Amino acid sequence: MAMKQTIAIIGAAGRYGAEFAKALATGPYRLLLMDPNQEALPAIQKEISDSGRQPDVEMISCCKEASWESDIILFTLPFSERDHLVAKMQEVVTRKTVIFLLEKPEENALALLKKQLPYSGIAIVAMYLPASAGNSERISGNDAEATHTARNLLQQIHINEIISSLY
Amino acid sequence: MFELFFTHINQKVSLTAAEQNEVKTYFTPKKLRRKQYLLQEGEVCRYFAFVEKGVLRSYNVDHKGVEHMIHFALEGWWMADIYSFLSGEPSNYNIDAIEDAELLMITLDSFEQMMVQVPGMERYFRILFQNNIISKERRLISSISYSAEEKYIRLAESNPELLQRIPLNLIASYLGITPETLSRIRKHLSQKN
Repeated sequence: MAMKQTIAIIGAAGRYGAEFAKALATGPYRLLLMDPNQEALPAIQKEISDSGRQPDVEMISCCKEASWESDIILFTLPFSERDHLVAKMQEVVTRKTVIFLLEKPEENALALLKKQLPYSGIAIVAMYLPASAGNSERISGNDAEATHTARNLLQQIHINEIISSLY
Repeated sequence: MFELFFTHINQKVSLTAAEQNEVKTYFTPKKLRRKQYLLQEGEVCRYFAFVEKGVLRSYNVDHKGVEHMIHFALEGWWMADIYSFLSGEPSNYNIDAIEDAELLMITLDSFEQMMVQVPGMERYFRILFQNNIISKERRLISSISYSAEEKYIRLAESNPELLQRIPLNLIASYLGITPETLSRIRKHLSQKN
């Protein structure tokens, strides 16, 4: 029996976060949903539960706690909310994979994130690229394991279909 | 997060502040909730884990579905299936949390890199493994030479905290006796005292 990995979705009530949460809930994962807008999370959790599956999904109010419990962190919040939350999680994500979803191109994004999280494996997913883009074009990173993990997750959840539905 | 970890290490070796900062970069902090697995049978043991908080157990399950306790790890103890960790072979063990736990975990690659970068850690692990060999020998002698009551008394003397925090059915399994026998031994000893 394969071990169940825990994924923290930071920004799980947002546009991307909610779609990723619903898609990942079908996989062999334990999901921890965190969002600064906590009031919006129960609706997402209910939507996942109502889909008839028996997902292992839990809401969590603190970004650091969610990241501490997780093997993989999926950060889906926009740039404006990134810095202070990344600073909070920094000490509990050493040697973990942290995947950042970018809604628009950012200059030096990887270098800046690497500076903030020097001991984490970072993967960046360019959500602004069209649905037709391949995962090798969409994903960049500083660590082979992190980009491999990101590629696997994106394949499992059919990222191109999610992007088509969002735009 | 690393307080107990460095207290424990500095009891055996002396690391500079710079070395401690370097060591921190090799470890992944992880919280486990009660009953969550660190390792399941059939998987490769990817991590050697130091327990900062909580209690872990390792055990195997026989063909009848009976669990056999192999080790427990309280705060300040290490836990892994060391054979699987070092060889990369799938494990025959399960490791899970008896209490909510906070761990510091290291992979084999990081473990090897750390030994090269911080030689004090190599000395620390040599001492740790020496002590582990002695403890395993004592457990083997206990298991083949002592009566059930002697085994229990020696465990109570050497690790009284285990008896406070681990359910008695798991202690019985660890000693290789039935819960009923353990219950009788405890009753007998309390009457003697």
